[in-house]
Amino acid sequence: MILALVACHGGEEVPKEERNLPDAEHFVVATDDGAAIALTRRPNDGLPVVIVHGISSNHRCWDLSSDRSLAVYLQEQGFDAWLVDLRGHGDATLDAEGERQWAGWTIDHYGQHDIPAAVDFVTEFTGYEQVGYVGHSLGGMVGAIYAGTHPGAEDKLSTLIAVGSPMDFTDPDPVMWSALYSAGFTWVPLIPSGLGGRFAALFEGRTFTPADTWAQSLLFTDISQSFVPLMYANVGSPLTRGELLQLSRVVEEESFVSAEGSIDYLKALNDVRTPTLVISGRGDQIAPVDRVYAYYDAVGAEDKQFVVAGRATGFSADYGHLDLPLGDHAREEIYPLIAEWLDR
Amino acid sequence: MMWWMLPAAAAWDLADAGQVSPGATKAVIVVTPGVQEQAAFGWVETFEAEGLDAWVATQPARGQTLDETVAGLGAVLELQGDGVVVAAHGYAGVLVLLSGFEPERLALVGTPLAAQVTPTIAAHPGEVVSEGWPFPEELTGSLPMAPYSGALGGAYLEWASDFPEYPTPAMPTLVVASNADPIAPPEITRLPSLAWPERSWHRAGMLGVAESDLSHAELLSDGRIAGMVARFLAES
Repeated sequence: MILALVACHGGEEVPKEERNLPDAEHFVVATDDGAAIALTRRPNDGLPVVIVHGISSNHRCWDLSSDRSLAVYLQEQGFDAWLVDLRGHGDATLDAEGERQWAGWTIDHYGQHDIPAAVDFVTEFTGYEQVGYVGHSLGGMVGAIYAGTHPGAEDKLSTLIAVGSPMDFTDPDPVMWSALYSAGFTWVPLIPSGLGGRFAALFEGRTFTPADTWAQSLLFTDISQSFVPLMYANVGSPLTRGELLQLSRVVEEESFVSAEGSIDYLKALNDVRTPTLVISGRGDQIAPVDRVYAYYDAVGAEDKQFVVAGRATGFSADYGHLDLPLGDHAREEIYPLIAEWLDR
Repeated sequence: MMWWMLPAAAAWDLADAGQVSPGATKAVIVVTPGVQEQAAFGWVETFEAEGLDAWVATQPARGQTLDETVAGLGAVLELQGDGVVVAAHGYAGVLVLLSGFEPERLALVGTPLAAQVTPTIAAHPGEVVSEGWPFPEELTGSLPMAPYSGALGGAYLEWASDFPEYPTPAMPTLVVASNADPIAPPEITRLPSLAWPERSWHRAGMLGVAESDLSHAELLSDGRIAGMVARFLAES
């Protein structure tokens, strides 16, 4: 029924022309384990920057409209922006054989296979030896997997930038417990959370009950209502059982560990010497400042900075989880921070 | 209402703010200098309803240095004998920690436990006579305030960038903080207290004990937080 409604009432993704985005180049890249990722490039002559989305999202989280696109902003500043769709997300729904890639992987696969594929492809394609890296939420976490454990990553990353990426899982709160409990639904291969967003877009992002308002404020606090339907219709992608199972292990062990528990990625960050910027949002409920601070604290680099995007630190708003990449003030306050660090 | 008369140098008043309750556990609410006593009356009512004997410690005199304030508070708390429990909101919790007093149980609500992790917009609330907190009222929310020592206002400001050492609380301790509190956000409350031996943590926000993130002032005025603190203290 919901699917039918989506089909009949235009809850589908909004074409990029209607989002006022300039043309981009598109690539599908095979990973070394037989999956595929998709890359969207906004080219320029400067340093290539690999930009990665968060959990249950896709590359449009960083490239939604001309004035809410880190990729467009960086391109304007002279950078060569490469947006990643991790396997199964956004434009990466088909694997290297052209078969649908639904599920069957964990968060480890993103950091151990997808990010290396993206970085290797971009360096080979552009001739640059290094890339800058920007990840939102899970995108920053898989950046930590790559930077902390992948052989040669140190030489390939000029800068590591994590935005709203939690790394501390002590004192579990309800978000973390929900991940733990959801792992009990092991018969569900994936949760079509992207469809949920498109369904919400049918109602133009309006909230009807206190519960709606509460749920919405979990995600953002500084996004104009007129923009919400476009966001809902575009930035969601399915959530897989493997991701949830790994997150449940993370909550149980109170650390960002690999799916089988043998690697502690938080500890691996101690060996990372890549200059690192970690940005957190004061109003972020999904990845509160204290959980993101652990990322900064763990990185071994001497050249690192932690930023809290909130009113008490001079920002215009207390940034929520989606405000960081997409908020009304992100282009004026968050993107320049990122560009400044990439330019070091 | 019963009053304890203390040496003038101590400069703290301790009042049995509720009903006289012989045999009940004495719960001392330490009020931050700069905040009016009446701001704590919600806690008094809630504590008494939970069966505690609520007392309120306030510092009425201005012109106190931090050392005098801490020493005076330690002295007045030591006089209460064994079995007393203590609750503090905001900077008062720092004063309790610095005093070294070891209550039976300790509740710290919106109390910073370390320096801020990034520079903030905090400013001196008045170098001779302070009024308000170092952060603007639109970020902290409002409580009934009173002028207080500029030296203490300076200490509150300094703690944002340079936090004093204090003994790790060994007693059961409740730590409550809110994402929306610029004075004591969770990264300088939850994280520094992770290793405390008997620490219980609650986030006062939409994914914790309230439906929205509470301001610094609301942490003292909110009835649910008061109830949680009272139940914790009454467990002794």
